[in-house]
Amino acid sequence: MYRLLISLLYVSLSLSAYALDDPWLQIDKASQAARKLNYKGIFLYQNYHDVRSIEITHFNNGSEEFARIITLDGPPREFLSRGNNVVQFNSNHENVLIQKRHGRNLFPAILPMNIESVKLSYRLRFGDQDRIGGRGAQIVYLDPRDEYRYFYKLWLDKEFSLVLKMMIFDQNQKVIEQASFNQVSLLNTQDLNWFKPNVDTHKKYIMDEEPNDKVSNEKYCTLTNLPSGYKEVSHVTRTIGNQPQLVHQWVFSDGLSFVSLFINPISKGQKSKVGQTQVGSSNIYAKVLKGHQVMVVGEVPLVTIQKISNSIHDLKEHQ
Amino acid sequence: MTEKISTLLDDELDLQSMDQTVSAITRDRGLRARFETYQLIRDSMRNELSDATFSSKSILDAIDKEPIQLQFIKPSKAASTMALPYIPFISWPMAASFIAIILIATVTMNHNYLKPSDSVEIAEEIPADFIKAHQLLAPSNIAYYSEADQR
Repeated sequence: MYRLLISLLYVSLSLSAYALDDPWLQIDKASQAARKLNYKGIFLYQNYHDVRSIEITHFNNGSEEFARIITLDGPPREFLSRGNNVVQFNSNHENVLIQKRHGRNLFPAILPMNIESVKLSYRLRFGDQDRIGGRGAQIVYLDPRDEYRYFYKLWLDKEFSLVLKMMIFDQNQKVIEQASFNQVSLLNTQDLNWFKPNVDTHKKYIMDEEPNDKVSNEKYCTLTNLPSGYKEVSHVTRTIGNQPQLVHQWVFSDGLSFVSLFINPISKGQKSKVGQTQVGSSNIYAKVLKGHQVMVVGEVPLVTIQKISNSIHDLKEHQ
Repeated sequence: MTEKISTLLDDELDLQSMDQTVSAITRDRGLRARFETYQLIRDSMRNELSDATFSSKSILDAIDKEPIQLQFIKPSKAASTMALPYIPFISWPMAASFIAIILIATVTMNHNYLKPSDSVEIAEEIPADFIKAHQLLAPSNIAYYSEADQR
């Protein structure tokens, strides 16, 4: 009954969205569908040369979201999430590492809950109709308004607006990242019996160290002239790797992509890092500024990374 | 026993049963390992995902029923691998030369290691710790669905 009501609600919303003039309603509906629908499916995720199958079970009881995500290829990895809290079980030959993390904007919920930031930075246009995982789909494009972000092509379920497939391209039309459902169906259950981890009693379970990041309100430097559309979503201090000194980390987002800026004073005897490189779909740029190590990492064009590295002002000289 | 461990974890066991269960866990290495696993998983999820949806019972239900394979700790071979092989035909002058070469090599290596701070190109030395730190805080697909930390 509940499922029927939800289905009817979405069908009626779907019809009304097509009837209304504002095409962005379709994107808003896609954002809501990934978070409000109950579904289970298997999708293929590709990042650079890394391809893997992933099973997702998603449930919303009306007030909260629950999800269980399992990687089906390679070393077993499992995520259980409730709201933004995620517990990850990372298995190797002997151990299972338990990590606590935070997560949002994961496929198929790649669109932010508030799409205003997306509207500012991307143009929306509609493409052809297609078929993904046995379901009819409407293709939509999110074209960047400038050079600081990638192109998004989305396949939205014609009935429920759920994102069935996504492709991210760079300026040269090279695929950066993609995900596509092979099969997906609505869940016809209200229980949460599935919401628990597989436990391998032959392995030793180890709790990973909690991230030591602390929210920072310190005015460490001034950041001006950031790439348009990118807003600060967090600023923390933390240690990184085995280095004892505190590192400031800012995360910026335009609603779809994320970039981290790291700044820390370079200790005596410590080698500084410079230059640029690419690891998978992540661009990385490093430089030295007034005795500080500056590092920018993100799944965005290199020009965005470089512009963020040039946005730092009022940094005190470190001897 | 599984049921009792579950009740023990939820602090709902009476005093006598608790005593018996704890004794059983203490005696049995397999039960002890299993108890620790339950506790760790339960605690990790209780904090982050709330105990409203989890009881120890639900986790125990998820656990494979087959018995735990006991793992025997093999005697350490560190001592034997650290010891230098005894070679009786090496004369003292030969040994002294050998030690001198090692000393020169060590001093040279330390000299290189202690040379003044300079820069390293990130293309040659990937800053994996920074990538991991970015992925832990930036909630993107790559952070969860890819294996960046193992590349």
